[in-house]
Amino acid sequence: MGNVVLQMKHITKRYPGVVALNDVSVEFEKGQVHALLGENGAGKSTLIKVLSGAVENDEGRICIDGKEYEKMTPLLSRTHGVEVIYQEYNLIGSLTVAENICLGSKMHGLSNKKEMIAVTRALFDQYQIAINPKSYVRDLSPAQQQLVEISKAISKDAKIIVMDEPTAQLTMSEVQKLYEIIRNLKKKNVTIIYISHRLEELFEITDCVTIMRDGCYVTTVKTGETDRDKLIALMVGRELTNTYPDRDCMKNEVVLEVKDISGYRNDRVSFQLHKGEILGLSGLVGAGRTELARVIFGADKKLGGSVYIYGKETNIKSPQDAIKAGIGLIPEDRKEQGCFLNMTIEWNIAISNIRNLTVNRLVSKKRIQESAEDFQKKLNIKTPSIKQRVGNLSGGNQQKVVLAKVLATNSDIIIFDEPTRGIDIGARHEIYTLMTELVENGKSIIMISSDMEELLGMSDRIIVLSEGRVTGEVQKEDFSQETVLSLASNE
Amino acid sequence: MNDGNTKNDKIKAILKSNVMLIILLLLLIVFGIMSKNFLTFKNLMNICTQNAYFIIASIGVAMIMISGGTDLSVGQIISVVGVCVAIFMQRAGLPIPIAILLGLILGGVLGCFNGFAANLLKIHPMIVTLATMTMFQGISYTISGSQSFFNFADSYKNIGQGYVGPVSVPVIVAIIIAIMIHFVLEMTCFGRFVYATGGNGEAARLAGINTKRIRVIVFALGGILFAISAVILTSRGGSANSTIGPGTEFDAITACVLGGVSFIGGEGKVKGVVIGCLILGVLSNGMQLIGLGIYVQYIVKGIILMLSIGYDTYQKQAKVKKVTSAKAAA
Repeated sequence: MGNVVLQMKHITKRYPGVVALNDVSVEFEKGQVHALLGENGAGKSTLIKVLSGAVENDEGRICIDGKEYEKMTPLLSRTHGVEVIYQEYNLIGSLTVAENICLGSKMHGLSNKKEMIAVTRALFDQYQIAINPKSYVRDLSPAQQQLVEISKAISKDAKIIVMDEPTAQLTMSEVQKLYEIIRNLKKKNVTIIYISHRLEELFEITDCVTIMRDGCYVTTVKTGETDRDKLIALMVGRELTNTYPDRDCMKNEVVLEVKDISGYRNDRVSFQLHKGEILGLSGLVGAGRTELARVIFGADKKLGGSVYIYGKETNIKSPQDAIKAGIGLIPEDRKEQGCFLNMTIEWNIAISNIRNLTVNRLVSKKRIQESAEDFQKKLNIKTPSIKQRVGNLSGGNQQKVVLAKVLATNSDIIIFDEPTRGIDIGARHEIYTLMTELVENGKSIIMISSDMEELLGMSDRIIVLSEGRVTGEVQKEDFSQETVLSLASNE
Repeated sequence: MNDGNTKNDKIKAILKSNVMLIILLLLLIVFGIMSKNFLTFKNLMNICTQNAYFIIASIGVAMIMISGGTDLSVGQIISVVGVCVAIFMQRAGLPIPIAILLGLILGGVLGCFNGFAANLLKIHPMIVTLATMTMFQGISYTISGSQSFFNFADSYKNIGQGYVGPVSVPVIVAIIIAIMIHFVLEMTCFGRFVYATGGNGEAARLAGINTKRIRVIVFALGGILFAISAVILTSRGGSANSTIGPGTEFDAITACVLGGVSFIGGEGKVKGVVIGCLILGVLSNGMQLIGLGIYVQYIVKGIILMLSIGYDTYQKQAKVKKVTSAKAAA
């Protein structure tokens, strides 16, 4: 046990009405990758915030490097080498990579660009990161930004690095890159606290897993001595049988046919969607999946090709046209494109369907409320009131509101773009069940997903895109990670 | 005990959501105590009449701001319309109603132009209207030839100077417009779409709203409101020239912000805007009555603006903090 670098002892944090952390004690060992696992709201983030000094604990002590503290402050935590990489990046887009990495490490004197670039380059070489230190952060992909963020933490001689959902935005190959960096860090005796909803990652990279539930510490297990089902059971506190609901897909009528569609990121894509089918759309990030969906939906410009709905050629020029034609889109970025965070839940659900919720052509508050209450029940949106602002809801419930908004228009074809990104396992299961119900009721779904497990589990058929083109179609019988991946990387 | 608490909470909540109304009432009381001429029906009606044009223009700006834009060309639109209506009547000899109607159409067209330009160039309306503001100024002076127009017909002057019973015509017009726009924003689909467009433009578009069209319509409606306020302004003053109007834009934005219209869009109510306008109006009038010079008035106005908006923002942040901490906890 001489290896313990950080101890959180009996940490309790109360907020008005809720106990966010209830007597949580965890130990972290040097050079280990230690996962924190739990549903949204289990208290992982609060624990991390206590460690980084962003939140003050009410009770308990933190023992770091053999020194014991009642509370951390941001400065104190920094001086002990704790670096947190949050889900929302803290990089400055208008500065270069080198400037971002050296930000804060040099507070005095004139900034020396050459030196910054040299420092950054040395760091990147060491971890084999191929990013130009001189490029501007805003021009980088999310994955590259993630790497910069990690490099920034490393450059500060971090002894403990906390990664909050580091892979949420990464593609398979980039995830591998991240693993490599993590292994490298491990060799240098850096402790990594790893938060992720993706279970398969934990088995790949972590040494032990601490499970939290409802603000309480549940247990810590060695990753090698457990399995997926046990972890889920510990996390949820009940057995989740059958993550992906079973169903029979009857392939008959073609609902949507896309012929030679081209957009600014797509080149002559063709496919068919059957009634009652979930069609998976796979590919690496940048393969043009979201862009394809947006072209079909009329959100981006179509440069060529045609769309047939129930065999009839349909000219979709705007999202309005698409909704009229019976297509719904649940966008990838829920906060930016999906909901109106400042508005109430009922308002959000009604907005797409408002023309049908009028009395004498005037908006009817009563009908809006009824429709929203209906969806709240159907989708199990957890909120004290549908008059709550959507910004106050958790990610899973926000996603349900977006779903309700799209379902309210009663579309036959629904495109789900990353339907469960950043959503905890319970809510995820509910969304899967809902998707199943939808197809059983004769709707058809196109699902874009970077989560391989979800893609293989939910789809009836998978179409793989690479560099904007269809590189293959996989039938349910032939589903395997390898097939899909090799098509996606177009090897 | 518990009941008392919730009652207190309720009162607190009501107070908090009506901060600006309370400030307005406080101002009325303070000025009422300091000057015995202030709290008279005549003076209060005078304040309302003086500010009727301003309320109408501010409502137009508010609508544009709710949709996610801003309009800096308000004053210049007023100027162009004021001058043109005068020319329509005096040089072209058109009947007054037609001249006014043409003026309203002109306002709408200028507004449309702002909206189209913002859509087409994909630039924030603030920058677009910064450019059109200069353009419209040039247009106004070119048309007027830097001349002033006087001697309007009495029936025109009546619009700005007339009374129906004890209430002045401009006030009646302002009330009608406030009610209409409130109704449009709250009760129609279009109103919802305006809030949606301002709240999250991309989400609104993906929800099937033609956000470009909404933007143009909002600017056009705004233009018409500015034209109405130009008519009231020139008929009340009995003269029109190119310097009448400019300057309104910043006062209008000030009133909107005071009244709780979000600068980023998606939030705001007509009621708030009217209160914002009245606060500014009461301040000017009150300070004049107690004998403060115009420059002191500017200083006081600035301080009040900073304090009230600062307080409002502080409150909102406190709310956000509470929410986020509760969320972190949940």
